[in-house]
Amino acid sequence: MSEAVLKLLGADTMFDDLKRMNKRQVYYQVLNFGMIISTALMIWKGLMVVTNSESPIVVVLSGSMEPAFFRGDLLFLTNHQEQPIKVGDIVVFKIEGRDIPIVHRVLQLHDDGNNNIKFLTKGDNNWIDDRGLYAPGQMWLQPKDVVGRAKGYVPYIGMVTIIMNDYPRVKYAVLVALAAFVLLHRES
Amino acid sequence: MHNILARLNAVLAFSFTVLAGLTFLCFLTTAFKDYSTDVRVRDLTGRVNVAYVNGLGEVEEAIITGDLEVDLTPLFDWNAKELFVYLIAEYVTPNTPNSFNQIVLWDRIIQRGQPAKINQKKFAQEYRFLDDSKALKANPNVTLFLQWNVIPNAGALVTTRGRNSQSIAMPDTYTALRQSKRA
Repeated sequence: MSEAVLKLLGADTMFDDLKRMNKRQVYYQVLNFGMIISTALMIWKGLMVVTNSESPIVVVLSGSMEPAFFRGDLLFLTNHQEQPIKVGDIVVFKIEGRDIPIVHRVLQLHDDGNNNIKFLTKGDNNWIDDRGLYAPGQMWLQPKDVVGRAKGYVPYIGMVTIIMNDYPRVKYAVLVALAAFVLLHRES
Repeated sequence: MHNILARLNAVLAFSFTVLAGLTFLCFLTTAFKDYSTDVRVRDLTGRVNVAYVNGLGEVEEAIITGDLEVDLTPLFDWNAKELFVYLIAEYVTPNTPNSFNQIVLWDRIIQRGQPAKINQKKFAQEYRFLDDSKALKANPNVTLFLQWNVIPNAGALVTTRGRNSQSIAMPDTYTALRQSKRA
């Protein structure tokens, strides 16, 4: 019975590919694996250069911007300094002493004309502004607190990373499965 | 080679490719659209007073009201999930610690399917209009704009400013902002 299931899943021939490989092919597979990792890294770092943001893609983690953004939605950020922040912009900012960046909208803004901007934010779904979320005594945010401004939106995709963060076992299982697939599977 | 896992993998990969392609096409169809439209802001009146706010100290506070009329129905195309509409007071205050200021006075979320006509007589300001450089009294030019952020099903987050705006000169005396209930 279990043999039949294994056969159905192809597990009985899983290592046959590996056995049939010679040394060159093994090296090739390992290099291929390395290529995938470095491509992903290059895309991420390339986006950082193009968008000028330390984190060009973020996942929405809270419901404070509902019904615009829900938990698990994906936002694309840019942070070009030549485009000043304006009221109504959706900014992703970091607060001292908090690990997780916050995605909220700019509600008030004062600019002194010499690029010293101070502004106040609020979540669309919150009743009050964010002064209670800021560091104790902090009344305003400044451009240095900003990770980026939301310019693009794709729903749901970020749910994958939320599940992986909530259940680390899923993350390791997926990583191991992917690595095994790439290393063991031979292109025919 | 054609076991269940391989087939599942192929089906999943193909459906995700198709979904990604369709989403991208959906984004392309609305990517270059102009979401602007005419707005009427009229009959503005304003009052200024001093206020004391925790953390800011003594500041100036203003209340502005007026009529607001706009029809945002045409902006809802198939890739518009929600409009976040907000009224901004914009003013310059040279010779103070601030110079350019923007304050949101009022906002509204309009989701797809909800009525998108706004016709507010004497709109009620939702957020406090505070100025910590105390340059509101006798400010000759506070301009009110209506602006909206189109939130798509998937794609670019566009911010558009409504055509037409209305300016108001703030009074040069302090008056009480809210009528006291106890006479």
